[in-house]
Amino acid sequence: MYRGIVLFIFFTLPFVGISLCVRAQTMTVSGRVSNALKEPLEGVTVSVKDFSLAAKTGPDGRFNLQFGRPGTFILVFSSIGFQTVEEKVRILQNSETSVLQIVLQSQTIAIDEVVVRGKGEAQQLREQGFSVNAIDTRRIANTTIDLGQVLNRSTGIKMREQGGVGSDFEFSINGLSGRSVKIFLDGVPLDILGSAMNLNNIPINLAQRIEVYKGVAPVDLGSDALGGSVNIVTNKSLDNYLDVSHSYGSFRTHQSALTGQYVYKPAGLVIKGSTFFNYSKNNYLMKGVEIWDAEKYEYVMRDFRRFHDRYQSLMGQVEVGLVNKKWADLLFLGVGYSTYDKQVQTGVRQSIVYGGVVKDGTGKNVSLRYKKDSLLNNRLNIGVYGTYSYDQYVLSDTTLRKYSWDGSYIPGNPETGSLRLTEVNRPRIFARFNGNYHLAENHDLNLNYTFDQVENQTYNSLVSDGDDMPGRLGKHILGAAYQWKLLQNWTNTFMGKYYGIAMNKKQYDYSLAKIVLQHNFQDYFGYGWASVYKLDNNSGVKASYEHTYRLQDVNEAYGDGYQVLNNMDLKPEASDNVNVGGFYGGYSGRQDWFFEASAFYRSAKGFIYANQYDNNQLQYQNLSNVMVRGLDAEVKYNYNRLFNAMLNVTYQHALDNTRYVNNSGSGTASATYRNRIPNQPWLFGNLDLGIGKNLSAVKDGRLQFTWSTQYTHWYYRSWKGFATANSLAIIPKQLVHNLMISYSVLKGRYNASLECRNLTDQLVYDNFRLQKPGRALYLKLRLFLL
Amino acid sequence: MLKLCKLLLGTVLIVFVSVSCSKDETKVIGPEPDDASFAIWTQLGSWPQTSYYIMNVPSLSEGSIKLEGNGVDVTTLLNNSVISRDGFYYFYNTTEGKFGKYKIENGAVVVVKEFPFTHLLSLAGHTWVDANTLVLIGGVTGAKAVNYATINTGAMTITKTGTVSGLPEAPETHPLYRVGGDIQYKDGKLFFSVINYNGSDFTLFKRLNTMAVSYPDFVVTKVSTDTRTAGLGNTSGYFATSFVDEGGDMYFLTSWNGISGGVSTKKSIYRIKKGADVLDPTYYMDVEAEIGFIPASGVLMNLGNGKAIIKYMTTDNSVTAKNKFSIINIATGKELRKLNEVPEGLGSERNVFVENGKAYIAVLSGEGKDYIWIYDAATDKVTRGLELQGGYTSFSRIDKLK
Repeated sequence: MYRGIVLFIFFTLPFVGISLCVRAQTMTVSGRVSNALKEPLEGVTVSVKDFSLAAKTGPDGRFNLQFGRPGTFILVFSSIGFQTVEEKVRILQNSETSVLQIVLQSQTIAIDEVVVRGKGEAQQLREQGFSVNAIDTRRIANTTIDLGQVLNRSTGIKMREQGGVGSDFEFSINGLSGRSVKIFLDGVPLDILGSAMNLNNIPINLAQRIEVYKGVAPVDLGSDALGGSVNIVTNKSLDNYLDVSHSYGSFRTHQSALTGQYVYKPAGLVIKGSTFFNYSKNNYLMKGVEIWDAEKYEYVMRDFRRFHDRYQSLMGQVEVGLVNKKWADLLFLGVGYSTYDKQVQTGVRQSIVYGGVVKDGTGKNVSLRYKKDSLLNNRLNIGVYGTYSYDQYVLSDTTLRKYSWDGSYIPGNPETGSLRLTEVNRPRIFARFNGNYHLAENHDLNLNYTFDQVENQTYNSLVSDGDDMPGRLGKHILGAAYQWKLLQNWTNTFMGKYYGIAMNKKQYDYSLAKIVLQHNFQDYFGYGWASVYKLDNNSGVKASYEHTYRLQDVNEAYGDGYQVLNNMDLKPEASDNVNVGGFYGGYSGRQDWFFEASAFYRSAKGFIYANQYDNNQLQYQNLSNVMVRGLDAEVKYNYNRLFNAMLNVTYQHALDNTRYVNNSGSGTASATYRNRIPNQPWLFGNLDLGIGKNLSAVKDGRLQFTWSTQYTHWYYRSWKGFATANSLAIIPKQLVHNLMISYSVLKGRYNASLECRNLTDQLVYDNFRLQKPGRALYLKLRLFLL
Repeated sequence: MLKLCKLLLGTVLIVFVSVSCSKDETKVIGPEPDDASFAIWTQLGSWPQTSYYIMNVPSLSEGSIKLEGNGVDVTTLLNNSVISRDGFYYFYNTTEGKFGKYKIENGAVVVVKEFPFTHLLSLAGHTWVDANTLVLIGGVTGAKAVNYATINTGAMTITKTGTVSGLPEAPETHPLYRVGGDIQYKDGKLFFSVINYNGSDFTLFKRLNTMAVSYPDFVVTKVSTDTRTAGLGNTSGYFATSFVDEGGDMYFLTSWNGISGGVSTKKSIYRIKKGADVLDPTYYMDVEAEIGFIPASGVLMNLGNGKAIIKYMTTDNSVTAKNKFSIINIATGKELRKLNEVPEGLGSERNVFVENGKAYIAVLSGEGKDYIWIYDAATDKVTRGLELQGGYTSFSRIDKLK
């Protein structure tokens, strides 16, 4: 009954608003739209905010709009590659035609040109109902850090790395990590671009903005993210530009990045490309590691440099397309290639030393992107994206040696436990449709459909030519969001999601003595709501909620038919996520500030892990539940362009919410029920301070000094309260200081920066007994041509 | 509207306060008993946050114990495949490539000695030649041989390593060797078994090969076979599947047993008589046929005076089965009685300790509190001993430390 009422309201409310639609048109507003060079802009959409009335500019940049009644209206001027402009017009009864002159600024703006009082897109996102970290990376384009490290400095985010450049890592949002979190590049799952594409190797210069949706994500990121989503947004301007940079630093680290675009405006032809190359020996000093001293006949502690941790990766992506055509605002065809080659130095602890394990992989993809706005009398915007990708990697362990930290070895066994050339191939098809329909004033409907199918072929090429029993997983995710601006300052978004999961797996049937195909289809429903109430132009309160899923993988459900048993009762991981928060911004004279804080609650149920039985067989089961409560807050302050500061802090209290042992549903209460989850940071924060000065002696020169400090409180490696005091292991606190000086001339055209990370050479760990790099220096040169 | 604002702001504040004031339940960490005589191994927590602890207890027969503040966290140091003798633990750490001797002292694992060790792919079986001589056997990469090592556990030196020579020839269809944990030292020789398997579908060749192997040369001197089963004793350390009784006869229980066609052969008990080099042709115990249930993974322990204790599954499904125990007359291969007084327990590897004709059984009942149940072979009575506060994932071993 209750569900029926909700559904009724959901579907009828839009039509209430439709009755407010526009009437007959008699009065005219016309004008001309140009770029900063006074050149006319064709194809600019001129729409009337909250009304289904719009027009496009012609080749001379001119437009006409007919209004049916007098009043005050807001005209919105938008075009691919330009910043959207809103202009208020007042139309009087029987008035003469209004004529407007509008100038659109390109979206690419060198940092020196950022309008201090303007609200960037990042700021606008922060003021949405979702709990969002929006990071404008243009402000930090001269640093040598990767996207993961940028995110690690924002609230609620923890990126736990096992080592240096290209190392494995665990990324968490508000305490949920691993497969709970999905990463996107311009709305497309990042892993489609190949396993070389990771948060910890994408240079900062590839991104224009990073959006982190904590717990509750908009439906247009159509995915089964349990704990949140990260969307990396690239440059969408229509300017010709070239951004090329190279950095060199400690541990023989080279990082190069190039992004560029050429636009042939008469034809609306755009060619855009981006590439990066990373190389690092990662030979940082390991302090106090164990090595066998044959003379003393004992293990002794010494310092050694890492000797088998070289990493290199290369990515290239090219898109060619047309923009601002009658039949398409945007049509791009793209191809991409990525590859990496990685030596593996340790197992899960630094006492497990590898010297021969290597992992390398390649990803290829071809994609098509289409977008058309203002269909059906400016009511409908649509976007379609499709890609085919093929990702493959090989994990090689063939040396049969046992290495020590000095690089020496003795004959031994496979370092990872089995002799292997494990080949993993993943052909994948991904398609997405997104439509936004303006129902009426203050009523919008968004529909998103995603189809994502991946086949997983895994085999050891030392003993087999291929995978006889691959698993194929197809996900159908249909999302609908209805945005209702209930009052002038109160916006609500209601979301519903359908998850369909098709699993196919070939399996060996021992009784039939042949391989048989198994198939299964399951579906689930999720829902959510996000709301923001703006108290004024700079402050507001917001809340959001979502019931969401992380769908089970095909191998988790079907197993491997031998050691991993199937489990057709396996359910997806589910979570109820709640955010409540507020923000307050303001300015006075040359100062401006922004404060935001949020409290969050996560109740995630049925995390899927392998359960091992006495007979050595495994089975994936919904084994554990987790409840996280916490809060995070951030404050930013700017004084003109002279001084800026940022301080944030995150506290999260994650509890084991698994009431019964192995989540069995009855029996004895688990001893760890309601205990704090161990081996997880729960209190951390960041401080950034910057002082900059424009140099009068140098043309448009600027010197910028940035200090950043990261603090992570110590935490227990295993359950607190059970172990004896002498055996209770902890991961010690981290206090790391970083320093950067950058110098730029000609409004950021030429840039040089010098960066020192871990200034005080602290011994730091993200994981138990896995040292991270000590003090490191980097020099970065960057050229930015517009 | 103002009310709404206040409501939302109020909600934010309430959530902040409730979060920041939430009680962080601190459990008092008490002193661990100094006179601990026994160690009970437990596993705690849900995946992936599982931790392994040793609970030190002064007695298995009385009192109660809870883990809080009393668990020696061994998670990254040892696992329950350790070898226990005279208060020391011996452990082959395959991932770090070292073998070590450890003791539990002041509530922590203390390293007595460790040295590099890589001679076995993993430890399959072990036995003691004397109080200071430990024999280890295990497979090799490629599974075409069986390796061995002998260790002087007093000096903690490797005295010999190599490959067992003279293994029975493998059939073409099943070219790989697997060695188990059923090794014993008897009559100056080592006795253990190998089976052959197929590397593509991992099925076993239906033939047990039990070998007499010379010591310290590790040459196979005699092979006896049996085709009623295909299996081996489960990995020693984790399990206990063989023994030599007071009369010098060796008994072992087979386990690994999936052959082609989805068929599993019977888990069986075999005997090698004192002075003999081959399987006793007059002795064969089909455990299921005798006790009516399939044996669980690897617990067959000697109680003395012709009695042994065996663990069995109460259902056929090895994944969901609970376990119970039965007393058998090991000499005749006949069941004496089931220990119905001991409640059903969840799979917990080596959760039995045997001493002076008594079996101490740690049962993870999954219902309320758990106990050590004591079976006294002399009186044939079961009594309830030490109380264990529940909520653990397993009791994987019980060892005597003093």
